[in-house]
Amino acid sequence: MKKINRRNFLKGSGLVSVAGLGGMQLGFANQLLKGGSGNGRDLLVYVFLNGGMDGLNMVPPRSGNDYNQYSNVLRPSLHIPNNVSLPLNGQNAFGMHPSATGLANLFNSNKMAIVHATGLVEANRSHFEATRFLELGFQGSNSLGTGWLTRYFNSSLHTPNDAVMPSIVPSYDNTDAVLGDPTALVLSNPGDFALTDGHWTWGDTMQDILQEITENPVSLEQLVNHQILKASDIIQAIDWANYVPGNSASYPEGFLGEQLRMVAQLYKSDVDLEVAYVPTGGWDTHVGQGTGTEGQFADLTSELSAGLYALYQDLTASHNGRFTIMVQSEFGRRAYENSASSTDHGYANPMFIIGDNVNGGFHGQFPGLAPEQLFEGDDVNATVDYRDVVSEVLIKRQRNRFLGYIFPGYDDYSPLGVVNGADLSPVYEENYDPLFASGFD
Amino acid sequence: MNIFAKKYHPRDAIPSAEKSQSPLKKPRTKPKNSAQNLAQTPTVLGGTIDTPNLTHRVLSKMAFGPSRADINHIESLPGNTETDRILAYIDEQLDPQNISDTTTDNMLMQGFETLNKTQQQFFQEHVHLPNGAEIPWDVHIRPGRETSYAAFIRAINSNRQLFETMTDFWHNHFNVYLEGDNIQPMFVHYDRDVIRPEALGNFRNMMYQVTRSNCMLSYLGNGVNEQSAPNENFARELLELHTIGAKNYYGHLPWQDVPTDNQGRRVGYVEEDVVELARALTGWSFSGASWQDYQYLYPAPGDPVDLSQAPTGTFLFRPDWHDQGVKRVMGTDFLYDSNDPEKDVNDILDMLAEHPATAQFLAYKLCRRFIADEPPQSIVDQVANTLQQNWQASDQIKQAMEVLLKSTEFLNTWGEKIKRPFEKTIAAMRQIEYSFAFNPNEEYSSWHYWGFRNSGQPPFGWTSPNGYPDTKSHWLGASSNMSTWKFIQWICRFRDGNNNDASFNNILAITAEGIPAEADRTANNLVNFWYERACGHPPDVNTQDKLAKFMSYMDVAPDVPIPTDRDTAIDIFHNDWPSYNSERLVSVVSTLFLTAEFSYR
Repeated sequence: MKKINRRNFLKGSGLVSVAGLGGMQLGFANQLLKGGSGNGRDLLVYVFLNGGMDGLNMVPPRSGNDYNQYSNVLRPSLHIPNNVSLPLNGQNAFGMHPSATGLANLFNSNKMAIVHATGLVEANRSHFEATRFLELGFQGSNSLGTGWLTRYFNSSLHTPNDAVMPSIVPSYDNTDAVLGDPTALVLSNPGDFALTDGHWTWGDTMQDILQEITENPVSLEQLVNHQILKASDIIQAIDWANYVPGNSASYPEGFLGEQLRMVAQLYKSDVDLEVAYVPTGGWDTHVGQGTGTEGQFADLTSELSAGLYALYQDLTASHNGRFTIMVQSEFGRRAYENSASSTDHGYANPMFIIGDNVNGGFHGQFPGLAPEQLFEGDDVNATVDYRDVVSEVLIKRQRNRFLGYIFPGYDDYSPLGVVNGADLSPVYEENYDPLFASGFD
Repeated sequence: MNIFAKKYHPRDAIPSAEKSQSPLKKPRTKPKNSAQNLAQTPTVLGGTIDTPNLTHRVLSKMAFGPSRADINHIESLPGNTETDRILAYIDEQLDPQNISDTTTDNMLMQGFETLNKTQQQFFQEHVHLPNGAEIPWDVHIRPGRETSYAAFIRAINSNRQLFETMTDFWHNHFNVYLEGDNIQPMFVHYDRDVIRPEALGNFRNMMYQVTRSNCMLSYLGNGVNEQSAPNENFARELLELHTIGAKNYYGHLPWQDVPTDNQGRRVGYVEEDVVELARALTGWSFSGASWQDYQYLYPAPGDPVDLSQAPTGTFLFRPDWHDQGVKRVMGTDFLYDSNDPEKDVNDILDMLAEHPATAQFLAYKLCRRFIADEPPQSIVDQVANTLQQNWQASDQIKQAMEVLLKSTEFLNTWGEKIKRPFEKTIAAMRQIEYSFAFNPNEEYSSWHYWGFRNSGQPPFGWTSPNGYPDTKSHWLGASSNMSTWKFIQWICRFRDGNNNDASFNNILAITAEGIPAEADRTANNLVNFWYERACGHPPDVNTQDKLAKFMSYMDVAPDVPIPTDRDTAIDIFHNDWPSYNSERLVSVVSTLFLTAEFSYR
């Protein structure tokens, strides 16, 4: 019955359609201030690679006809030679980009799964369209007022009604994945998250007065102010400066490292964090992509790999088996290189799943790189609906089976066995009603 | 060029202003609120928002917020009613060349060194020296930094407010990320030669200049677009973001299957069209885009380097890179003409500029910018028709804006939009008559530049080609709001340490003029005066109560401030311990800029 209040709140606030964002759950922060119970939910970290990550150079072919096509025909000057890519356990068809040592490490210790050739059901080479479809969890022209994570929470039966901060987007920019969820906190600078730039005499007073003004919000904008100020109190109670990651994990320099470290620390601070949506950019490599360990792609790969490796090490030390990291991009890139020895927009791409409950190794079917195997002769074709991968994690790890509500129109869940956990029969009903659902679940 | 790159700036590398430090207190590290307070839940939303008068509404939407000077000016215009005077103001604003702007012009002469350089000078002095010598970073970025400072100066001070909001609009429409590779050294050119000349002019002309500018050509990679393997980046965005719009993208359909309108035009575009347009744009490059342009530095042994061969950064059509075949874009064949090698692209630009889908898309975006996140279709149609019927007119955009600005939808709508961080900050600066000069040679200017970044909307700072989002939902994020608030806090009390701590705000003088009798300067009156001025209507009871309580604090000697009588006059020029009356007024004013009501437009 827990979700009823939450949903009624969302309904009553009119936010489901108005799309308010930027606050936190209106909950009991005193729980945090007293020190947490350590019994929070499993964490889902969803890392989104904005710009279209080049999956073919991230997980390059290493042998056979695909390697021949890749290295000689499609990418004569851009391929990763098979004596340069990193070997991956149990097979020699694919390797890992030489800058992705952390990822290769995770894969080879069975903590990482790679799903071949995932994508939207219909190819779309526009960043903005493809990204929006993924964020909304729906492909088409219907204008949904909510993102897929918003609907995940609306239908999440176990998320406590008084969860302090169920979701975080460590970013300066909003994402439509949390569209319509006033409890999603979009926050990138936790150590600095208070009204501290006034005159010292009145520094605290300004924040207090503003809190009193917004105590009983009657508009969306007032609600947002209210949420930000509440969040500020909670965020300030966490000692951001002196965080010690588990397993002596070392996050890479740069914004991605900061984002991931913040997620880990917030999770461990027992604020009921359940989902972190981590956007990270730079992958749109039309020019200057580079090969080997040189160039923009290698730099990004190195940072991503080190960041994910550190996050895994950090979390597994204290929360073994209690988290899942998922990595996706809006699309892959063109199979063949362009005139700038770089790549244009393409279609299918690998997804990565990292965690202690992951069935390591390759999943899904790589469709091949021969001309007739490529999508329209141009791109790696998709063989896996990305929703199958996300849904399996939602069901087996996050215990949410309302797939038709989260992904409208989706009705053929086919798990690939990427993660461990009990399967639940999916509910494809689009008009999910938590009142009804909570009665039998 | 990496359009999605987020430049990372380690915190300690960023110059910033000193924080206000108390000799007595430690900075806030723990929440003071009780748990009970935190647990309180807002009840059902459903309040209505107050609507300010017409002048306040109009200046909040077509300008960067009301200023005393603009309000006084509007009141001096001919007309019997406020509406008449506003219509006269709109007419005036539609002809910016007739509006004198000496304050802004003078500020742009203080320390600005690059605003009058040629495109070639930018390239040869800030991107690549003819002799190949290294360029110091501060020289490299100087033109970009000056453009940013100029954007602040113009938004705050210019009398041509509509022209500045339109410039902002088009910069976002044809977005080029300021910190992309080699963009900063060229950015004065992009702002001055490409965007501003046509901000109220002709869309086709602007698009043509965009297509030839080395800023866009390098940002979206078209500078190296060769026929051997076309680079689609610019072609795709030209269709999706600049003209026809994603709404009319038919994906991987065959082009023959795209419906036609009653005049035979294909109503949308498909993947094939992107590829065909990319082919047409092969060879549209600039001098300096190719590695071959730098071979002059390596002459045969014994020969001198011929500096006249140095790349210039200006548009360069490269015939050997250009695909001379027929391009079929949206169902029409475009032919190469060896006598006029730019003809194929120019014909395509004509087709796109004339297309009703382009007019609809531009009109929708303009109405979304000036009226509402979801503007009524009726006004979108009117603006679109004006754009489409006048697509070749030199004042096409002006005509469309006249329709938009004189519409009931524009004049009467309120609160359908919120101020984004830049608009909110500038509106606050205009309220307090912020006089900081943004002289590029002064360190204080860079404090503003870096201090404002975390707001999420620094000028020209959006990394991807679709420009800053223009709907509420994007701008309600916690980080962006908190950072904007903090910046407003900071500017409200920022003083000139090089000039006897002179204030950059005019809060005390404005107050003294607005409430002339000293006996009337009570906590209640001070709050009401400033709130109405900033938000356009009186505060609600609760907000008034809390702000007046703050304004009436007597004393901070013990840790707890003591609110006192709100109807006793306060000497606002008295700023001694423990009451700090002047600082307190500044704090109250900066606090009301953080309310939800101030965010509406």
